[in-house]
Amino acid sequence: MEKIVEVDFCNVPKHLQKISGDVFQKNIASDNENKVVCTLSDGLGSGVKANVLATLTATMAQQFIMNNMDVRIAANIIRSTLPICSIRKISYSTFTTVNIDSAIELAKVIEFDNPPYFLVRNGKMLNIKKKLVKLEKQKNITRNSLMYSEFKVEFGDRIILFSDGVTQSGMGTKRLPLGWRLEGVKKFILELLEKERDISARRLASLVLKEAMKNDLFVPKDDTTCAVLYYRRARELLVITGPPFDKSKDDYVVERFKEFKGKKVICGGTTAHIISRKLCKPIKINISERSADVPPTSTMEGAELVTEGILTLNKVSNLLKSQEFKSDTSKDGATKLFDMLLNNDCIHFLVGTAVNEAHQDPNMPVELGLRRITVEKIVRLLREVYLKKVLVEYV
Amino acid sequence: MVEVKICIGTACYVMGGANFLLIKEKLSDKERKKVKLEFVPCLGYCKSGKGKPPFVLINGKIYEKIVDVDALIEIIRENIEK
Repeated sequence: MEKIVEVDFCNVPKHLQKISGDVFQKNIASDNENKVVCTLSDGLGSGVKANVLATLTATMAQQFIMNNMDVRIAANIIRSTLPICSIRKISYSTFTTVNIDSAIELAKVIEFDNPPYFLVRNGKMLNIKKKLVKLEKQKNITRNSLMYSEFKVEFGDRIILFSDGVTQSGMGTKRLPLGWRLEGVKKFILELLEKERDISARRLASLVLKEAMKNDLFVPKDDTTCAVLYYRRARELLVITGPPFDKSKDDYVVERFKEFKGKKVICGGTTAHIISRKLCKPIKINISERSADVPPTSTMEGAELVTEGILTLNKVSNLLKSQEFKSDTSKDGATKLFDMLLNNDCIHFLVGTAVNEAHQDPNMPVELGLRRITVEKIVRLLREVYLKKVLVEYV
Repeated sequence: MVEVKICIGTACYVMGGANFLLIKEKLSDKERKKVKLEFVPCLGYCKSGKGKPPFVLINGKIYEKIVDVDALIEIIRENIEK
């Protein structure tokens, strides 16, 4: 059984800001593919200035921790590198860095002034002993210490990080005059986990964020971010798209579909037609689903999702590229597939390379180009930005 | 009964088939009772090179390059009257 650390986050900037002052970064160490390092940094203030501070902090923290630098040295370098705010005359950016090596099941967390992280195991919040690490005194910096903790991770553990935008959400409102606070966030998460034990990191982060936004009556008073690390069994997804170049391979594609143990998605009308015909499973189109840019999805027994091909894949590629957190609930084939890709860890693409000549008609939109190019874009984004294990097979 | 199979494959969809999703609402109650509507992921005609999308199969006969939903309704009405 393959175990993985699923990492995902959701973020919204402060109301009227176009860019967030909270930055979340995640990487896999170049020398150890089992080591996942991620940092949540909250820059002073909001907008571009805060984003620059937070990006500087997160990038440095990521590099230092991935290269096993001592936490004291790393924190001192970060603190002395940050530019000083011309208005407040201080240089400041909070951060939390988590580093998990799944091969030895060890997690190390460094916290500098962010709200404390949560560790949830078997539906309960655990208190981890934290060590206070004194740092050199520096001009313009008031806080001279950080918290360090280390613990053995267990299967099913969730580490939840958030910026103060979450804990302070709702502050000043009638319902939550003092804000959501740590206790409120804790209660919300535990109740949610009680209802949805297998909730993905992405969904958990997005629901925490939605609740925080609700507390602020959808006018966030600060940059708000929630990130979740979930140590669990890898979820597998098979995406079959495009008919095979050689028709004799149709049976192979159908066989792969039949035998695959995880969730299955078919992307493309002709591909769906081939599988439906060979397995004698009818396809039903969900005509109630209306979207401006992609055709409706279909339902077929054995498949989690059946979508149109190239238009849907192009939209998925754009969604993956934008990395935007969308709170709207309207779902079309592309957003459904996007969610499935992010909610699974090992993604197998079975790509048929037969070219539909009708799509090459110059009267057709340019987006109907070659499927392989779009799939390659998606694969690259999934690997590099979303840290997914992706296998691609062309037929 | 008129059997109508509407292709919403990629080529048909981008060439105007997207509007056919509204067809049910555009037919009268009386007409709706006489029509069996079905949407299919791909009828496969675009690959044959015989005609241009969007394609609709009505009572086994293929119709190509149907410009809009009104044109489709017109064809369906002709078939109802037959």
